[in-house]
Amino acid sequence: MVNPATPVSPRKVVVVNDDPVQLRLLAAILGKEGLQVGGAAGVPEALALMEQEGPPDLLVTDLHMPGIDGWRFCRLLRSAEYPAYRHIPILVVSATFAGVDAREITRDLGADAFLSLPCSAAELKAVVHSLLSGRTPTIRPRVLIVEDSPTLSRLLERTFRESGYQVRTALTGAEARHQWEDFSPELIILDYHLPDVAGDRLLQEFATGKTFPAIIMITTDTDPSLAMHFLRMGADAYLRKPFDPRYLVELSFKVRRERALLRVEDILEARTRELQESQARLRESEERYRLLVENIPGVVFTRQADGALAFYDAKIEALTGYPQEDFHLGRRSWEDLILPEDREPALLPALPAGQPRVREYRIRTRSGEVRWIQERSQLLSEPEGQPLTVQGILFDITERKRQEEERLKLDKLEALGILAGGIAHDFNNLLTALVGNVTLVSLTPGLPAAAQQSLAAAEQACLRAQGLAQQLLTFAKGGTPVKQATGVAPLLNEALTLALAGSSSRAHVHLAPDLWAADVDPGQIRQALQDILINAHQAMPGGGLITITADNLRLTADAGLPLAPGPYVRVAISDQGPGIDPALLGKIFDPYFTTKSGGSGLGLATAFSILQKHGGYLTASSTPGEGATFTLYLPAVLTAAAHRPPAPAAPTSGPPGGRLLLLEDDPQVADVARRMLEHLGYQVECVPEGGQALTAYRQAQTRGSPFDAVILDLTVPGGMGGKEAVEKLRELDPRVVAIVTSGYAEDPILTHYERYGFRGVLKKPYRVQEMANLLRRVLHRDEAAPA
Amino acid sequence: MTEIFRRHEVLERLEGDEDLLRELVDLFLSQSWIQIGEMKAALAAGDAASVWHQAHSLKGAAAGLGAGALSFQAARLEKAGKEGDLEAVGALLQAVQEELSRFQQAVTS
Repeated sequence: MVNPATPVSPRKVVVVNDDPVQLRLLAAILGKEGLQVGGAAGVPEALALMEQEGPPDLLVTDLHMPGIDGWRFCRLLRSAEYPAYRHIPILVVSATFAGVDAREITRDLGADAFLSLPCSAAELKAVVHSLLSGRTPTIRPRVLIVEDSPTLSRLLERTFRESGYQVRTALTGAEARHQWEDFSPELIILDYHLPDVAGDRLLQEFATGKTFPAIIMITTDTDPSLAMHFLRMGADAYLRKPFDPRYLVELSFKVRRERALLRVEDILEARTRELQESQARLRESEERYRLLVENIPGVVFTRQADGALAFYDAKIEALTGYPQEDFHLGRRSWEDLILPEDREPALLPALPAGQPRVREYRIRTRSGEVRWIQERSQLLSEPEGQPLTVQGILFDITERKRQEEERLKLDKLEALGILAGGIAHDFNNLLTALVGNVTLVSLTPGLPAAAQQSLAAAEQACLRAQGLAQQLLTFAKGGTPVKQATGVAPLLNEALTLALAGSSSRAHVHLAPDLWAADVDPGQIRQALQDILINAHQAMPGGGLITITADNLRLTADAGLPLAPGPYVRVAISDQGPGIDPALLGKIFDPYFTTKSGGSGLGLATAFSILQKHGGYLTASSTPGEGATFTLYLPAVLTAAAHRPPAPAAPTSGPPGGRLLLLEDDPQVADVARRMLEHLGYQVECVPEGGQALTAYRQAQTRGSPFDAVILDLTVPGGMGGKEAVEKLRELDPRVVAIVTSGYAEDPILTHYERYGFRGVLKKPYRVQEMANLLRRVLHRDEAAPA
Repeated sequence: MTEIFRRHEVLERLEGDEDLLRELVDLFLSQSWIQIGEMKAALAAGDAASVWHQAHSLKGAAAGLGAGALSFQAARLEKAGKEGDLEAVGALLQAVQEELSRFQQAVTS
């Protein structure tokens, strides 16, 4: 750095600049000039350097710097605190602060020169050399001398010029006004006695002017009150003639200095206020942003693909269980939390920057829990060779995923349910014809015993077929449970008896004392329990122990189960079988999914569906090799378990006979039903459609031989069905005795037939005896009830 | 104002010292990319004040190296940072980054 041509020890310069590029630039240029350059990134560093190396010959400082800025630095150096530095020439450089204002302020600060950046090396060198040589400072204050005595005027002019001022003189008030406009003096020496204008008049004009110059009044007047008068009018000082011109220059320096300090105070105050205000604004905006970040239901992040730099907002801790700092310090990489099978190949296909990207994957949290994450991010465009930066938000979608899977499962079930319901309906129609005919034949007098036996067997087979159809329908959507407070213990006993009859498995039942009653359809839940128990004992072909526990459970909203908060009875059924492969756990409730040869695949799906419809839930868990546990959550009622009183027994005998209208679209079913009813002694008229049923009913009324009862099939493809027909019939005859019949045994209308205006239900397939009992009951009740 | 790189002008200022120019450009580039990274982190953290100060310094440094367009965008970013307008900061930070890339291409070609 030292120029070998310089014989004496090099001059020292300290450069203060917080921008490393500017610092290097200035240092390089000054270094080439043979100066010994010390660089500092900030004021404290510069002061330390000066302390260590001794006062430099020149100081070059920036204005805008964090911490102590250039303004305050200049003031410090020119204050009494640092007498050793008071005379070091200061060059202020600024890239952002330029113009006349900058020059003046710099000068007021006590700096010696100002350079606006960027400047050329030549300019910098010229200023530096001028400052180092102690030649005329770059900034020369302007003084205007208003004095009508040419001698004194010239004397003062010379003295001020020698002291480094730029000087203009005025001999009259008019001239002074002109110079004031033209020259913008920073200092005015003003004589009180002028030939044309009174000095105090000018004083008033100048003191209130925009340029705010320092003004010193001079006068020969000895009146002491005059001094007060001048000062009140805005003069900075007052001097009585005669005086030593050097004293005036000295006084001028003091006045200007005071002025400068005042002005710098103002600037500093304004800057401080501005800073405070903008910081307050910032805090406000940061607060808004922070609230926004906090309220985003996700973790906001920025990270470099190489992991060198990462930021995650504070919510990362709640999501992962790991502290926020871990991610910032690079101790933990987000990618590492992603399950290996969900990670992306290391070499990402180049995605255009700025294009939003959505990724879903699972992570393992600190506690080992697996959570689903949706990452919405975008790659920021970075130039070649720069690390890629990704910005985005991480959402926890675990709950949504679970619901989606649930919905998918339900959708599948619903579609199958509709199909199953349709099949069961047709099936029941066929069974009605079968059962009806079989029972009719069996009623034929004088039938051989062997034929009776065959017919009984046929009827048995029909009943089993009916059971299967019933199962299909329970599984189907329409099977609205008829809930009642039901004891869990009897249900379990019944299910165990049916499921484990003849099997080599045993069951241990542990029931909590004071077990609540379940608010369920006992038939459906018994079936669900039975299906699960059958599954359990089939998992242990060689026999084994089935453990059943039941306890009370009060669920809160955050229980993590898809259940409403409230009381539940929890029933857990565990087997000792081989367990369920974790990969298959999610599928075992799918209809027609079975691992057993010969399994229908309907059992667990039906059980799941039943629990769903009850507002309960069924889950399975398993440790392979240690068996499986099925847990049922049954909605509970806190009253004691009780069965509804059974329906009043129908009278088994009564006067048969009467006119019946039968609405049935299936001719085979209509035929057998008509023959069964006739067998029971009724007169029957059959119609295949609701509209015709209305016509027939009206005609019969007109004829004076109305029907005693109507039997309406619920479903008439392409025509008016039982539900609509009964409404119309009740309009015709509010006392109509209507019975609903359907193959959709679980249709809600059949469950709540009374709400729809029916007196009774005849589920297909029906047998003669059922028909007889029902008809006797409804017709008898009708007679018994007051009209 | 919108020129990417006034090389001639800068070189003249440095009295034709190509080595110094190269050194300063290298220094400037590494400094500026760090600043962009810091400003992004600051933006993500909602720290507009930090963006303001960084952008101010980037503006000055860019002007010093004849990166007119970059300095212009940095000045806009500085203003947005000062006003705490985080939305504008996000957009302008992107613009500054693009200008810096352009400047880098211009100085290295």
